[in-house]
Amino acid sequence: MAQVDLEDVSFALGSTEILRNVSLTIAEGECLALLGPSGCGKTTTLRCIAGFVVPTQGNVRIGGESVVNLRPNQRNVGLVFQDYALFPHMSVRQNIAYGLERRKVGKAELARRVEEMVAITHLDGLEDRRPDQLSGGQRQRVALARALVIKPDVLLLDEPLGALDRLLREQMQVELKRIQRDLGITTVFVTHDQEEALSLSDRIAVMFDGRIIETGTPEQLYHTPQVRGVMSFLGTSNIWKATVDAADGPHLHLSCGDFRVRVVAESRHPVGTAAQLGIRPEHIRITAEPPEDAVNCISGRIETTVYKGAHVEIYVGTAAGIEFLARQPAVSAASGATARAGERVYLSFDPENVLLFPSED
Amino acid sequence: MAVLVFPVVLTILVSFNGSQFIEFPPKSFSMDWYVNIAKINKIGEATLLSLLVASLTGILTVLMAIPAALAIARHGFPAKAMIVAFLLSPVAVPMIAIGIAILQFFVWTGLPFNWITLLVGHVVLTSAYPVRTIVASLTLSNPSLEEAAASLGANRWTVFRTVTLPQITPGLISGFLFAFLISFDNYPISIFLVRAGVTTMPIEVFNYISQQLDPTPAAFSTIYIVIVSAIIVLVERRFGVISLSVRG
Repeated sequence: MAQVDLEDVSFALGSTEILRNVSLTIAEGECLALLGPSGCGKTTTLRCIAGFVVPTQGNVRIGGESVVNLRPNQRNVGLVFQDYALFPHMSVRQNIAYGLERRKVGKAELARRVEEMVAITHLDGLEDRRPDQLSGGQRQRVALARALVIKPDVLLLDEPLGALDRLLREQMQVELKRIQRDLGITTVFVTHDQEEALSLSDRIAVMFDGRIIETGTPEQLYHTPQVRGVMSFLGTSNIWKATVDAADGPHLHLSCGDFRVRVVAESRHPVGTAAQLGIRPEHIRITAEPPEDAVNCISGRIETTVYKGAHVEIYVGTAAGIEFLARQPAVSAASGATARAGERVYLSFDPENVLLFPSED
Repeated sequence: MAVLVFPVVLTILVSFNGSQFIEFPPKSFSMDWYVNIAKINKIGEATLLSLLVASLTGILTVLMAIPAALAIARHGFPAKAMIVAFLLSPVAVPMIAIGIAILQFFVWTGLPFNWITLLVGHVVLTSAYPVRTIVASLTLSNPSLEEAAASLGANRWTVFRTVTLPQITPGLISGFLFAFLISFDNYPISIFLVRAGVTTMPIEVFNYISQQLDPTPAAFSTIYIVIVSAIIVLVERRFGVISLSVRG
């Protein structure tokens, strides 16, 4: 276990810049998600830590020591590949023991540690199977066991649950989290699945176009993202352009045509400048009549409703020309107050739930 | 299919024919021609030399093909397409041309003609086949296996020994078989490279055919067909290599 530092890491292939000045610290025992769309450089960042990519600039430290000049086999790193990369010609036991054999661990010690890892990852009874005789979830656990048994300084996971179906993925999420917590191992995992990032990690670094655009806890990034790109990438959101009309104590007044919005503004936005506003679908109330005390309210017509099981997603076209997505618990649908397409409704939301971003962002 | 099978069936039938001449359909049964194989000039000695040269050809070409195939399948390098085409070129050049070229080369170097000359000629001729089969098996195996091994602490040689090699075994075996079989019954190149005292099986069989018209060579070929088929079936069962070379 160790802290991992990326210091101003850049990587280019020819004239294509894949990583641009990536700086990141992963604390000892922390679980960090590298989240971003495909091609954003997150896997390259992981491979920099593992040693398969040598940065063209910058430094990588594991446990405070620079590892940029070390080959992958000289770094003590546990890597789980997206396709697991289990050795097909070896049994589960041989796969798990591979790293220990390379480390010349004694026979008794080796057997003990393999057994221990088999128990932790619930692979009991499968030790003599070959990878092609295992299910997807079992393969995932073998890959994890093989990476963990060497007691790596850092565990790296590349899209760890990407190859599993949804149900299994949720099970493995819980399991992965349990193992990571129990062993207290420094973990970096790459994912393009925001849900996976939110539920698995202590902290998320959102990457876009070779850069880290924002880092924070799942709660911070979901509720108070500082960058508009993070808001639109994490979860669903409504984002629209507006102009700052006036400042009034802790509040800013903005408008988009006739639609006036009051927000609690922490950052300074001069009057007259353009900005972007964002609100999460679950923070929008839908009512048949305009609420008396609502500060931010706009009327519209329901365009579509999408039933999602636990909740209903309601798309509302408004007079301001903005289409809003609101999310309501499905229980209200069952109780008869079903929102129907074509109905006239009022949307309202609290100033403290509105997020304000600079317009150029 | 019929065209492929017909010569084989014909050869086998003719080899059991009692007649002096190669005729079809056979009129009587006889094993005489199998006994007569011994009368082919130097057949034992020539077959042993063919076996030796073919085995060494197979081993040498496979050993040379491993690094070449690794470079082709796993790395990019300048002028890659050209070098790959060059490595595979013996397949495209007529054997006679290769034979003459190698003959010229040895005459020019002044080296004596012996079985080593023959071996060099056969290695040149067959080197492309193992490259192809090994590249095919490397392409089928997952490169992240090698990275996984490295991340678990294996150095380059250990990665090759414990992961890459087991993955490409089918390619090695089928490459060896190709080189072995092509060398073993090669005539057009060997004819330029053999000298008195050094002679191979196909040359002696051909010499026999040019002097006698009886079915002795058919009897010999039947034995050859049976052995080779058996080897191919066994190897295919164990490694599934024929399908690999087809895919490659």
